[in-house]
Amino acid sequence: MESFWAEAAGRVGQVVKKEVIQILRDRKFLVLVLVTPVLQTIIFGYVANVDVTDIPTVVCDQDRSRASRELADRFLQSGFFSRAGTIDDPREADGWLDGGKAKVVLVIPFGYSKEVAGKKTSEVQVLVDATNSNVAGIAASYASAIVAETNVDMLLTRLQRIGIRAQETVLVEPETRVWYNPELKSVNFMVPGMLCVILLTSTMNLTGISMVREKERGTAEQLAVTPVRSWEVVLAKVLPFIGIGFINIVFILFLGIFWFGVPLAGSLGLLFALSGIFIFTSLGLGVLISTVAATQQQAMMMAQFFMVPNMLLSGFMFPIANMPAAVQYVTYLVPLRYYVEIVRRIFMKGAGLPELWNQLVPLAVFGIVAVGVASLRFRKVQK
Amino acid sequence: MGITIEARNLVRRFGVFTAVDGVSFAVQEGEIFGFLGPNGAGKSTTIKMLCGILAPTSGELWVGGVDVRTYPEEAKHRIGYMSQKFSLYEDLTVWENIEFYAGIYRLPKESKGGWMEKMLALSGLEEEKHRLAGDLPGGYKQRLALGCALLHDPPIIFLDEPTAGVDPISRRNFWELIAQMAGKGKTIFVTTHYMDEAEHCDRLALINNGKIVAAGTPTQLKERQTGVLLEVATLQPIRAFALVRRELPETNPALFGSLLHVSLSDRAAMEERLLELFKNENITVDSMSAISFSLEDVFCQVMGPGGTVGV
Ligand SMILES: Nc1ncnc2c1ncn2[C@@H]1O[C@H](COP(=O)(O)OP(=O)(O)OP(=O)(O)O)[C@@H](O)[C@H]1O
Ligand SMILES: [Mg+2]
Repeated sequence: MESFWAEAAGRVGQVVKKEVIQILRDRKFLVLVLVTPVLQTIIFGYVANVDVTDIPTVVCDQDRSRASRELADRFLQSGFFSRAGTIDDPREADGWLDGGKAKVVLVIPFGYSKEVAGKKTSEVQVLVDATNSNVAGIAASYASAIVAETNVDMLLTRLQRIGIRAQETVLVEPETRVWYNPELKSVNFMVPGMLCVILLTSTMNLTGISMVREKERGTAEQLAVTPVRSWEVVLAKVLPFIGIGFINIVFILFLGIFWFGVPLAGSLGLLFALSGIFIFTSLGLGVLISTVAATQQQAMMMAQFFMVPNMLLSGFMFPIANMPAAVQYVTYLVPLRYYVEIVRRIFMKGAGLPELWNQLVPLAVFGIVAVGVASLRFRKVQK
Repeated sequence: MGITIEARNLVRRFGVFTAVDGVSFAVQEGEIFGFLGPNGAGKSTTIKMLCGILAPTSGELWVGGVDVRTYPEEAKHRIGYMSQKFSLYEDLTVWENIEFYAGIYRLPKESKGGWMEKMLALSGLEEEKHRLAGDLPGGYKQRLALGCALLHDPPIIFLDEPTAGVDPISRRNFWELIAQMAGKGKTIFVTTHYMDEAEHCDRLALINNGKIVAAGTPTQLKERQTGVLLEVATLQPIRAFALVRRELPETNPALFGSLLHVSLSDRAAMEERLLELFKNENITVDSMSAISFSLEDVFCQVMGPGGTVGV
């Protein structure tokens, strides 16, 4: 007699083998599964290529001092903002923004130079057209970064003036400014997000289909009279599709890195390892959906339905930080959120495992719960 | 020989609808037990409960000495099940299907290959070994399904309408297989619509609307019929049938091809009345003779008054 685990492993292996034969035999399915993500990546990549540079900017310099001109120049020479016009009265700003002639208005108030020199704080206003919230968010964050940089420089000058040389000040180190996306290319930001969304769509739908097919064709009933356990079936259904998920990742990464030139700051190995966990989770969700659905169409519909909150609340399209507080809490229930965060951090910040634990754990918990509940629901005895 | 399948007061409801309504029976070891009933009678529902894949609403059931409700997994090693709908993998070949079930049942390595070959031979599918199961003709599919259900050599076999939609030659072959199994001491629980198949069973239970309406050996069932069965040959069988059903429903008229069967409790009185009816309606009767009850007559009779059209 084989031991409990050897028996279970043998049965899981047998179901996996069967699944693989079925997948390889269904050529149309295979092509669909492998080609669709590639096409999606290409389309998405071009559509998402709305780079945020040369944002038309109107300067309203009320101070007309050397300091104020310096600040304005910092904006205009950064490459992100370009001068669309100059105004004297801040009240004219609306006209420029409403007419779409400018996206950003920089208002430097009267007395800016005096306040700065007098070591007081001065309020520089940056008005941003938020019609395109993505662009607006990026523009706003760069504006504040430039202002912060100016502050630092002024602080340094001031310190020098009172006799402390810059090298001695540990206060400010330019390297600590983390620029997620220094080239400000939206594709760098979008491709990692797309990887997540495409992976979720493909894997979740796939297992869903494969599980429901078993129910529809009555083979699930035949399985039910054999000694195979529910969790063994669920696990065996998930495993082959993890392989397909990885193939998808390789294609998407290849396109992203070599075609769209997205730089990968972090480790490729880590990205793969953590993607494995995400694939497991999303497959688990697919299986869970399929235990509720009676037909393949239903499973597809449910998966689509499930995609909506994932797209909207994962931070893939809209930054979570810009959402109302209550909605921000809801995003914790969206598994894609964690993976988007992981992938973007690895891609853009070169994050390592220690910084990603807090995202990884909830993601894995989602997966284990999904597979567990699916196993319970894929009961062998019909109630 | 002991009892190997037993059901007591088995009930299954789907919502408010009762599909199986207090069914009780016992099957002896080594027996071919037939379950007969019209569409929707509750045959498949009963079989699924016996196989442990559908939970009974109430009642008790034992299969192979195991209480299926409490130990469904124990029972599963002892049973083979062939569902009404072909439920092997159509996109796998014959051999891949056999390999799959052999693997799922964890047949010991030493005997696995031998058993698989044996089942392939039993299904008579050696030539079709590498054909996709989905491409096989109906009769072959059924034999493959039987082969897979027998792979782990279970002592009890449940067959749910195993020959539905299969040609007469294949049906005959299939029943030879069943007889062979029974000869080896296996217990066979089979549902069917075919009366000739029912004749092959050691014992039968007739089920209608979820209730067992008659049970016994085929001979007992036939002998138990009271009265006389008349076979009427006429040129207008359909009209005759409609007429009798309207005027004398208690005679359970049934059509068998172009022949009309009516059962009379009191021949002397009823025959007169029947002839008169036909005469009034201008139906010419060629002959009218008493015959012995066939299983089909029994079936039509017990499935309630109003009559049924036989085949
Ligand atoms: N899952 C279910 N949900 C609701 N009703 C069901 C379900 N399964 C079966 N029924 C109903 O129970 C009744 C008995 O069905 P069952 O399949 O047992 O009949 P059967 O005797 O096998 O008929 P057939 O000869 O057509 O196979 C039918 O009326 C059927 O519609
Ligand atoms: Mg049935």
